[in-house]
Amino acid sequence: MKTRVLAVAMLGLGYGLGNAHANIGPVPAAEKGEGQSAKRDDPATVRLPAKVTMPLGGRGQAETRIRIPKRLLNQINQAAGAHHQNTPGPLGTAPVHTVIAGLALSVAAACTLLLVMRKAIKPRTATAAVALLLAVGGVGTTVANFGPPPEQRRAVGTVLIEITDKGEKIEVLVGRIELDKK
Amino acid sequence: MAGSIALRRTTLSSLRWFAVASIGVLTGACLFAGWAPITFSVVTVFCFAGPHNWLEARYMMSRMPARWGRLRTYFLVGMLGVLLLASLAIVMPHGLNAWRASSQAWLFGAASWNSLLVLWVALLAQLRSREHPRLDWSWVWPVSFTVIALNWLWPLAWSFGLVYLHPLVALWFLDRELGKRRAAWQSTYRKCLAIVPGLLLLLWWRLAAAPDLAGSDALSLQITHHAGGHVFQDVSTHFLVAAHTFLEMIHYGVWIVAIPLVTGSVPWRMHNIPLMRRSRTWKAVLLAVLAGGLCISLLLWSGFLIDYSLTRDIYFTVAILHVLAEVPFLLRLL
Repeated sequence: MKTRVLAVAMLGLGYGLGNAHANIGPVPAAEKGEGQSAKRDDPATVRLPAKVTMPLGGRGQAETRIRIPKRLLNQINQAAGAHHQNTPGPLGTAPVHTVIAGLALSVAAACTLLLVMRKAIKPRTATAAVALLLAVGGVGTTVANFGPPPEQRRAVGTVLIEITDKGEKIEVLVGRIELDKK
Repeated sequence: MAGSIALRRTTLSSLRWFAVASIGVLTGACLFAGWAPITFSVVTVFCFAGPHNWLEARYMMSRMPARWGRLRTYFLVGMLGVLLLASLAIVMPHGLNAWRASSQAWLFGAASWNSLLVLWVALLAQLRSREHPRLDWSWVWPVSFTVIALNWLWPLAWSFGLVYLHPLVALWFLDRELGKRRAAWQSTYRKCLAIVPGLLLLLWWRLAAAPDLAGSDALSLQITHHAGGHVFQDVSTHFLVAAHTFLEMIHYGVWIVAIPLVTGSVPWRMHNIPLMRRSRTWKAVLLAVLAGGLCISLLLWSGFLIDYSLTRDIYFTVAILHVLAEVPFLLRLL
């Protein structure tokens, strides 16, 4: 009997928590059907000093410019190179993580159940523990199955990238912004 | 009567000194870490990294019984776990690099290693619980599997949690030692400890929104990276490095000053190491290990002087050994 209860609990929680996809955002249309993870589109990141100039009172240049000193370009290239090497491999499917997490959670729940059954715990305590477990499981399942957040509104236009010999920081000169109406 | 009053006065006076010294060290470490985090990190690692590891090894030797008896399985699982997990932690990054693994494969590797670590700690806790009839740690398995689940959802956060929590384990060791040897100091110590979260909050309040650390040299980037600057991208690296350096300084202070002071053991006197009495071979092995440890400390200092960045990198890779070795000894103290 105990074994059956445990099996049902593990299966139920394992399915509820393990089927959830990681919150990795929308899959780009071009990549759908290629069997690759959407993480492929993740940007390479590198933290560099920068100066941002915003347009004031409708003034400023029409086009946004990014000035990158040549000495910082090396670091950007390195980051891009490292990122290129890190494109997803056979293990690079994020749902594997959530499935394992779900299984681990179901084992944790089963162990808790076993503990409650093995020990002579007062009915009130046992009810409270089961209610807590169900509440945590319910909230966890709901949160884990949330869809990705809506996309932020974006500005559209072109950007001019200048590579200069001068300067120590990247300069971002923000042009007049026109919001994307799509 | 007069003797007891004098003894009480001496105890009160030493207790007061202990409290003043503790608060002084904590506040000083917090101020220096917040003011010049990179410099403070460089200096503290240079001065204390090697000695603190040597003193920690010395402490662990004195806590190992001469004959293991019923503890044989416990210590074997402990030692094998330390060796296996440390080897994996050292070899895995090289393997993944050589394989040109994807970032997802790195995350998978990190999460797998973290899971093995949790299972090993849970197994040790189970063995310890069996050995001590009054301890009932049957809850350790549900908790461990919950931790494993969280680790699979946020593997890097978990790994960096370990980086930030490990320094605090030293405070736990000190608390247990005080409980065993100087019970009168324990409550004062715990009151002093209450200012640690306060100081961390102070660092957060002053630095969380501060500009990132300006240094773009290899060493600054290495220290920032070690504090998780590339993982917690919304938090100022100034705060991250300051908080990590502050906690590291506490860790060094506990192992180098507080624990030897509380246990009253003089590091070069070997009479309180039970394993030394087991046989001549054991004595020779332990003396060789301690002498080797001293040589490594000297080598570390030389390495830091020649190439600080490379030596720091090697040190923090190998330092996982002492992080893991603390676990079986801490569980034995509980």
